[in-house]
Amino acid sequence: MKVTNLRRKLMATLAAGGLLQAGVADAANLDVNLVVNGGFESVDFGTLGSSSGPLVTDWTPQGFAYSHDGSGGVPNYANGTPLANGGSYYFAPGSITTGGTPHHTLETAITQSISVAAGATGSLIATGNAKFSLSAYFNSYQSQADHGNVQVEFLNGANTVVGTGIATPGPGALPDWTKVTVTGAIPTGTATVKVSAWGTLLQGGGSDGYIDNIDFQVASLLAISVNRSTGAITLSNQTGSAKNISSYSITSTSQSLSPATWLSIADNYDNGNPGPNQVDATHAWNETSLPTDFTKLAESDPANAGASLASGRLVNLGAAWVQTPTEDLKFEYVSGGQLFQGSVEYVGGPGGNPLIEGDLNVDGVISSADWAIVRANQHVSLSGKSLAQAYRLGDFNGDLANDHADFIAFKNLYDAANGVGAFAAMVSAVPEPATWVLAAASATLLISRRRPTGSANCR
Amino acid sequence: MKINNWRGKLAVTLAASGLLSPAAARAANLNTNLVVNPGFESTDFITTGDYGAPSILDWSGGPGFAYSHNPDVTSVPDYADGADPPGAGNWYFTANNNPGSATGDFREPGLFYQDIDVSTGPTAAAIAAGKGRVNLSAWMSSYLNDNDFGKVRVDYLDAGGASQGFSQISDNDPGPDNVWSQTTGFGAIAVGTAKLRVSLFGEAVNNGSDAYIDNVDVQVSQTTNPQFLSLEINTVTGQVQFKNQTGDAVQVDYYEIKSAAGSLKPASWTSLQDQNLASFPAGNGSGNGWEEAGGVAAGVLSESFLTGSSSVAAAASVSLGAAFDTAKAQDVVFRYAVVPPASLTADFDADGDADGADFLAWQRNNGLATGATKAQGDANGDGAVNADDLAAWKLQFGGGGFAGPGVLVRGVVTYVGAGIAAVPEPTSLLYCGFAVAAAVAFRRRASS
Repeated sequence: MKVTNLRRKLMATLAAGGLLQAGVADAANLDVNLVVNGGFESVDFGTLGSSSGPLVTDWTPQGFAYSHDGSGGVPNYANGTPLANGGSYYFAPGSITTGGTPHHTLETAITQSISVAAGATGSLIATGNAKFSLSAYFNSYQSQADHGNVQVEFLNGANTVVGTGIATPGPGALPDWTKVTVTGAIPTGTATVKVSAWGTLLQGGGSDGYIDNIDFQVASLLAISVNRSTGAITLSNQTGSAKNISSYSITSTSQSLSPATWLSIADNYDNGNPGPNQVDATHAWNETSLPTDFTKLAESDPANAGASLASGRLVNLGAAWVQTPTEDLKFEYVSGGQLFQGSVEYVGGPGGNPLIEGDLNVDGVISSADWAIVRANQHVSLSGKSLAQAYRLGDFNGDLANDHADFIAFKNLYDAANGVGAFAAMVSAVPEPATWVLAAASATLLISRRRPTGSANCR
Repeated sequence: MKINNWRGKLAVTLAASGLLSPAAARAANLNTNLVVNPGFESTDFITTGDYGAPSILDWSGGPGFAYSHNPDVTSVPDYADGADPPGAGNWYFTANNNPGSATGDFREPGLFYQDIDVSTGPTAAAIAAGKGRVNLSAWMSSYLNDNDFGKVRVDYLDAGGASQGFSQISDNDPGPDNVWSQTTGFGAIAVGTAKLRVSLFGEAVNNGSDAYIDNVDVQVSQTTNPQFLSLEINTVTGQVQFKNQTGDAVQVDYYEIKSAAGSLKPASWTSLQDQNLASFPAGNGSGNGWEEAGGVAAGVLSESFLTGSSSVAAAASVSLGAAFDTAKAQDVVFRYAVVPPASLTADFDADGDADGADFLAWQRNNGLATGATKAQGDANGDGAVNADDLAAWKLQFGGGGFAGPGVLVRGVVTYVGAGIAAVPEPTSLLYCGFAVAAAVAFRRRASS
C-alpha cells in the first residue's frame, strides 16, 4: 500500500487519515517482504524534515525522506544514479524536524515491529526450521564516510532479545546505491521481529547514510527451488543440520505441475532405488498424487518414519514445473511428525524475473520464436493437456484449444511488445518536427509500396 | 391477432385461453414484420406489474408490462412524453416495470425478448447466401424529463443458440426532451443465423430505465450482393476459391475452413503461403505474411498473418487449389477475421489519416494545458496538447488503415458443379455454436 500524502504541499486532503498511522505488519507468510513501507514510498508532506523532505509513514519515531527523482521538490543527495525500483523516496537518517533527534544511533533509530508468532512463520520458528533474509540498499553523501544500518532483533514472548542480524555497508563513501544482504536462522521462541534503521555519523553534521528498499523475509530451512529456465524443482535442506522428512506435497491451482517428468522419491530415491542419490534406504515411498493430476505432486513414506536429509542436501525432483507467468506453487512437508509449510523459491529465468505472458519459449521476449510455437500448434488438438501445457502451446484463453481467439490474444501481445506490425517500421522513421515535410513525402512512398492497390489475384 | 385479456380487471373471460401462451413466431418471409404483438396490444390483466400495468403477451422473459396511451379508457397510467405514434393503440412497453428483478427494470438485452425463427424459407436462403439484412424500427420515448432512453437489439443466434453478433438501435432523441419518435437501422445477418432474438430494454440514466417502446418492426430483406466473403467449392473438381462479391474491399488477417466430416484435402490445398501472391504475401515463419497453421488436417485448413493483414479487393477471387474431397460430405464452414480500420486518435483534421497536416495542428497548439480539443491536437482526450499527443501521432503517422487482430466472421459457402452457377448451401442444422461478433454496419435515421 503506497500512500503519498501531499496534503500540505498540494492543498489536497486525504480522506483516509488512518492510512497514515504506522501499522503492525501482517506476518505469518513465508517468502514475502514483511516490512511495511520498506521502500519509503508512503510519505506525508504534512510534516517536513530537512530540505523539506516528507515524513515516512509506518515507522516510529518520525523519520524523513529525500527523493531519488526530485518528487515533491525534495532534493536528492545520494551519490550515483537513482536506484532502479527505488521509487521516488528513500530514508535519510540525518533529516529531522527542527529540534528533533537525528537517527544517529540504534537508540534513536526508526523502528517497526513485525509479529511472526502466527501462521506459517510461527510453526517454523517454534521448531527451529525458519531462516531469515534481511536486505537493504545503502548510499552516502559525497565523500563522507557516514553509513546506514538496518538491524533486526528477534524478541521472544517476554520481549527479550534472543538474537539479532544487521545489514550495513560499513564506513566509507559509496559511489552508488549498494545492496547488502544478511541471512541466518531465526532463534526458536521468536515472536516479534523489530526492524531498526539508522545512520552512523562519522563526518559532517548529520548522519548521511541513506537507506532504501528494506526487505525482511522468513523462509523455511527445508525448501524447494524452482528454476524458471528449466522447470526443474529441487528439494533442499538449508537448516545446517540433518532434517527428517516423511512426506511432502507440491500444489499448483494453475495446473503447472507435470507428473510425467516428476522424479519422485518413490520411483528414484527410496529403498528400492539404491545409489549415490538415494534419500531413504529403509522405506518404500508411495506417490499419493495421481499421474493425471496437474495440480499436485505428493508422496510419502506410508510408515510415517521417512528419512533424514543431510544438511545441504539437494534432491532433484525433475523438470516438473511447466513454466508460465503464474508462480503459484505451494510446498508442504512433514518432518518429525509435524506438518510445515515450506518455502518456494523461484530462480533463474530471463533477467531473474517471472516470465511474461506470451513468452512461450522462455527467452524473455515476445518474438517470432514465440509465434512459431503458436502457429505450429494452431488447430492442433490440446485435449488431455494441462492448462499450463496448453498455454505453452498457444492456448491463451484456457479453453484447451489454439484457435482464432488465441491468435487474437497473441497478436495483441506481440503488437504490445513490438509495436503494431503495420506501424513498427514507421515509428523509427518518424523525424524531428523541423524536418517532417520531407519525411512525410518519403513515408508516403513507403506506404504505397507496402500496400499495393491492385486487385487480388483474379482467376 | 390482438388479445386484450381484461379478465382480471373487467371480469371478461376469453374463451380461447390457449391464445394466451406465447405463439411461435411466423418466420421465413422477407420484407414483412416478423414480430408477434409488435404494438403490445395483446395484454393480460391476470398478471400485472406496478401501477396496475398489464403483462405483455407473446414475448419471453420478464414478464414485461405495458403502460397505456389511453389512461382514460384503460385506467393504466401514461408516463410517456410526446404525441402518440401513429397507430399506437392502447398500450406500449415500459422498460422500467420489472418488479421481479433486482433493479426493477429492464436494462440489459435478453431479459424481455422475442425469438424469431428464420431457419426456413426465404429468410433462410437469404441468410445462407450472406444476403440477409435485418431492418429494424421502433418508436421510443421516456418519462418526463428523464434522460433514460430505449434500445432494441437483435442478436443473431445459431441453431445451438450461440450469439454470432448483434445489431442494435437506440432512441434517436435521448435526453430531457425525449418524445415519441421513430428510430430505424439495419445490420447484416451473420451467416449461420437460425434465430433472431429481439430484445427490448432501456439505458438507465436517471434512476431506473424509464424508456418506453412501441410498434417494434423487424424485417429481413435480401441484399443484392453478399455481405460476407464467399467460399466457392466445385463439387466436380474439388477446387476451392474464396471470392469477394461484397462490392467493397475486405481487410483480413486470418481464415479457417472447417469440415466436421473431414472433407478437406491438405495435400491438394494451395495455401496463400504456397502462392505468395502480391496481395497476400507469404510469411517466412516470423509472422511477416500468411502462414499455414500447424494443425492443418482434413478437418481444418487455416492461415494467419501475424504482423499485418491483407486486403481482399472487391470482386477478387483467389484459388486455394483442389482442397475439397468430392467424395465427402458438403459440410464446410468458412470463417475469416476482418481487421477493422485503426482508431486514429491523432487524425486531428478528421480526414482519415494521421499525416503532416495533423502534425501542424499539434504544433500550433502544443503547450495548451486545458480545454484542448482533438482538432487542436489532443489525441488522448486529457484536455492538454503535449508530448503524449505527439507520441500518438508518431505511432499512427502514415499508417492509417488497419491495425490489430481481426474479428471472426462466418462467410458464405457455395457448392457449384462444373459450369453450373453458384447456389447457396442449404442451412446446416449440424452447425455447432461458436460465438462470433459480426461486424455490423449500422445507421440511425431520425424520423419525424
